Amino acid sequence: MTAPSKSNIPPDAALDQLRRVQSVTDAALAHLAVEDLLDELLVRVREVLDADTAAILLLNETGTELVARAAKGLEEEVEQGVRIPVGRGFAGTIAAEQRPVVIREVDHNNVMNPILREKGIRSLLGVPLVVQGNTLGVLHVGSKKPREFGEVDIRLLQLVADRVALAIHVGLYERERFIAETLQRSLLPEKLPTLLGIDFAASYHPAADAGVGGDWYDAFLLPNGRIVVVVGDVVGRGLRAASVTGRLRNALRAFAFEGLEPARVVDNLNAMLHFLDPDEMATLIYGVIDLEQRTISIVNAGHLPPVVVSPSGEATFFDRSGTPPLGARASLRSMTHVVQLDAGAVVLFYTDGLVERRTEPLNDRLEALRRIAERGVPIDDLPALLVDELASEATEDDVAILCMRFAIDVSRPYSVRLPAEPVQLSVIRSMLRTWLAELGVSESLTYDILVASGEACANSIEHAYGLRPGELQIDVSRSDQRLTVSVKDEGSWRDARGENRGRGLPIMHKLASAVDVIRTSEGTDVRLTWNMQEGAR
Amino acid sequence: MNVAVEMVNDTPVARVSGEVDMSNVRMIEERIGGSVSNKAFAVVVDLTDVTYLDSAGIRLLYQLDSRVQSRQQRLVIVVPLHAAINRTLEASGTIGTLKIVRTEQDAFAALAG
Repeated sequence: MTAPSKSNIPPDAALDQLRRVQSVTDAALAHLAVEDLLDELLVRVREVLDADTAAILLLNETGTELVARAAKGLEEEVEQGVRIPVGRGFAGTIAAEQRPVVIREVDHNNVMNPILREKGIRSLLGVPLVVQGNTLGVLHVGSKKPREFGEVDIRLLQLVADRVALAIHVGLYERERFIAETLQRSLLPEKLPTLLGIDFAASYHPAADAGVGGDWYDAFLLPNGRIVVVVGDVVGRGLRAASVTGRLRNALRAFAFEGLEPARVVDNLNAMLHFLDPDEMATLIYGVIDLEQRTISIVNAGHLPPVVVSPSGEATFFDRSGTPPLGARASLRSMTHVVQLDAGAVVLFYTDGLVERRTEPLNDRLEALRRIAERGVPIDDLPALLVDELASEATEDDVAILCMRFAIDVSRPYSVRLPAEPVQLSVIRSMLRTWLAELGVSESLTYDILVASGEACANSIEHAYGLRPGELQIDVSRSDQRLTVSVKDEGSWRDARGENRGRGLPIMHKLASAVDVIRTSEGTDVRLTWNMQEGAR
Repeated sequence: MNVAVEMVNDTPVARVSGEVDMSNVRMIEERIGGSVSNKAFAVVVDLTDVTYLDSAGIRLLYQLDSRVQSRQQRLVIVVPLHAAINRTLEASGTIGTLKIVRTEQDAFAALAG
């Protein structure tokens, strides 16, 4: 290729070239993803400057190295993920000093990257990619013939670089925000458990300017029928914080499923975070609820204290902690505090975004929170009310809220949906026991109801769905002297097979006052009723 | 749910505790089955500390019984008089079908007799 010197290019021709670049960037901005956009721009840059190579290197997260992100005529640079320390060599100097660099004759002293030399590049021109005074990276073009890049070339490349920098900035920022938001959404439970004996309400609000942060909440059932409730806060924001949140949330679920004690779950999380993400820190409230005992075991790792509202409406902070934030120390011996709750009590977990403001003392804000909790609004309305009154202005930090109310209203029917899995049987028994205790049903009748209901559920689990995953719906109600447990599934009823099968239905008939099996095309409903002449309150 | 097996005079005694349902019967079966050698003459399954038993548990007892019988061994089940799980045993017609006694002492007496 013959490459005539462009340093004496006529001004109107340069303007024309600039227009071409401009039109490409504008069109591309609207339609292309960042990687495609960079590729497209490099094709144009190479053409406009009549260069043999063109490449874009971007600063890494810590700003210490340049990483090749896109290249034309130098594809190896990207494929090999070439990294150049800032401040050294050709590209490193451009990034460090934020100025164009021209190299007339490439040699070992002025170019570090061996690929540039191996490709036979003789002359180079590079300019910094700068947005709002911050260096994003470097754009450079090269010639295989000795060439003198002149003032016009430099100006042209810098103009292109400014547009490229802006496109990268917008593209990367938008993409990071999008990914972080998607990730954050995936970190919150799709739905809160619907159980007998506890009601949940929760909400998450991203920060006004910075988008997502590291807050999350979680609530899930363990196979033993206990319920884990969590609100946590990873220090920092954006994609990085959301990723750490994801790791913590999933590790927490795994440790909890192992059946570890609450304090050990938190200790393990701490050890994991400290070892794998030594620069990260998080605060956390971890609670395990036992509905039968009506207790919540709480471990507070450096988090703001939960609010406990008594049935009479008095709100207090449960501020016994004793455990530092996660990641602060290599190892922890967390403290678990068991709180006994009365029927009708409300517990509220939240993150600091709800109460911390630079302009107001924290204690005043906590007092405002406590007073709102004392208003006795229905739990479903509580998260929205808290956000309205405490964080309705543009918040600097994200907010996560998880509320739970411990109550069974025996005068109303309940409906619970659970996966049709054998491990759920103990969960169902646990919930029924809580409900029956509230009704004052005797121990012996309770046992009968548990076994008969268990048989109905086991039947659905075993037969209704085959290998398909499905759900069970359990409805319970009491009216005067009748107590009803109905077990519904959306599968097809199958009569028992095998010589040792088929005991379930006779057991139900023996233990319940009446058994009705209603089979429709929609599924099966097994309705068990008990007449409560004795045993009931 | 837990299963602890102890050898008493060359006879395995499997003490089951907790709640027995379809989620854990296979585990119980494996623990008990694995502890019964061909040399043993009998197996004692002590359900004194079982607080819940459903038809999956009943099925397990019948399966265990036929397996043991096919090897010319005997199964004795221990369930105290006032245990809640008697309701399941009654409702499933198991009492009178399988060998059920009230204490481990009764179990060994029954095996000796």
